[in-house]
Amino acid sequence: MADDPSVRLRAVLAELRRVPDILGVTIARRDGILIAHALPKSMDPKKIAAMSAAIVRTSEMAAGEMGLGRLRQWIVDTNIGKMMATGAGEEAILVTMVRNEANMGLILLSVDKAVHAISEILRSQEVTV
Amino acid sequence: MPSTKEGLQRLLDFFVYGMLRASEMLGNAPLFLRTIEEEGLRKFLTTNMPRFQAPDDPAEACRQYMQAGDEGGLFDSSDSVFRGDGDSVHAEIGDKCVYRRVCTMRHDEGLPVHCIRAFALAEMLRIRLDADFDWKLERFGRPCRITLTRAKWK
Amino acid sequence: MTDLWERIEETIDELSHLTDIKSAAVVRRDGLVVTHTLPDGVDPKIVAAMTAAIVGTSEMATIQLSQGRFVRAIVESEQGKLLSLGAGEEAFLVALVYDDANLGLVLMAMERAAKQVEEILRASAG
Repeated sequence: MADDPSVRLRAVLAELRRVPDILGVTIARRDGILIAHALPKSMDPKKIAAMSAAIVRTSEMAAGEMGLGRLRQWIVDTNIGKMMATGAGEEAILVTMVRNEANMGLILLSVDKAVHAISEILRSQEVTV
Repeated sequence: MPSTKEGLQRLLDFFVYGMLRASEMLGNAPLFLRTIEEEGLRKFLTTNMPRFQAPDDPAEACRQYMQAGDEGGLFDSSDSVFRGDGDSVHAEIGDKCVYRRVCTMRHDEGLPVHCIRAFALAEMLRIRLDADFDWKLERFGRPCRITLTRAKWK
Repeated sequence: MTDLWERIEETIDELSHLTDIKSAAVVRRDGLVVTHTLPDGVDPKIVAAMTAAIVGTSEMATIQLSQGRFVRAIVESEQGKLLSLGAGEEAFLVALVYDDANLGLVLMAMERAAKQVEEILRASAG
């Protein structure tokens, strides 16, 4: 069914994966439970979900404590690529892995679009995990 | 509440085991364990040992702290020995350590043993003496050997 | 050994003078603050613990995903950014920067400062 939220979420992920230099994407609940992912086999989606949720929550609290306002995103730079996480509505976060050569402007726009879509899908339905 | 001492010990064992695994999996065990200990110990000292004044000598402070804990029925440190020289503490912790079973589980699994006794004492020294000590488990065994060394940061 | 601490403090003071940097800190891996130029009203203990958590978990995520070597973590917020990078095995450097900061310049200055801190720590251990 086109209405099925998990189908719609997978569609959002698939579209994001088509953006050049995006290596993998994960949607997690804010308490670390995996919702959906489009990751290569070498990456453990459950671990990413748990760690990213922890980092996002701590980043939000840190930003609040330091008077930096609302969290936009968290980014880790590595020598191979970047990992980014951002809130996708009240209940979820989106984690994206990109290569260092990526066009960050395009990536950020695509992530933003995906985050809005995910937030909508989750808000309009209750997703059973 | 568990109705037997064994029941309570078991509860403690698995709770602590979970805490250790979780803090490792999230990537900063020293931070999480130290923070848990700091928060818990601060509350404990305020509530249960408000009159505990640690002497300046760290080994003596550890000895007196453990004794106060014994008197409160929390520990049995009768088989622990503390020696020191003002800048370091060397301790032997015997079988009766309340964490021995958790540490044995960890050790048998090949996981690093985070000595809770050691970092609890380090936090106690930090809270009561405003002193920075680095802890090290020199040997897990019967007895365990731990050292606390005054840190170089200040 | 106050000498060690004073030298780290100098490095952080210098770093904080950069226009784009609001404040900076050196934090131990286990979340204790070494020195900082955070403003009053911001609790340095909480900042230190949170950034230690962020860096520790970020490093673990990097390892778990075989994404090479952790270089830095950036928390981007509406009114500024929090940047952290390693300063040797035992510590890391944290800076709060304005939202419109020139990140290239800031990161260069931070990398220099982090190296200095790392050398100071290494020299004292020897």
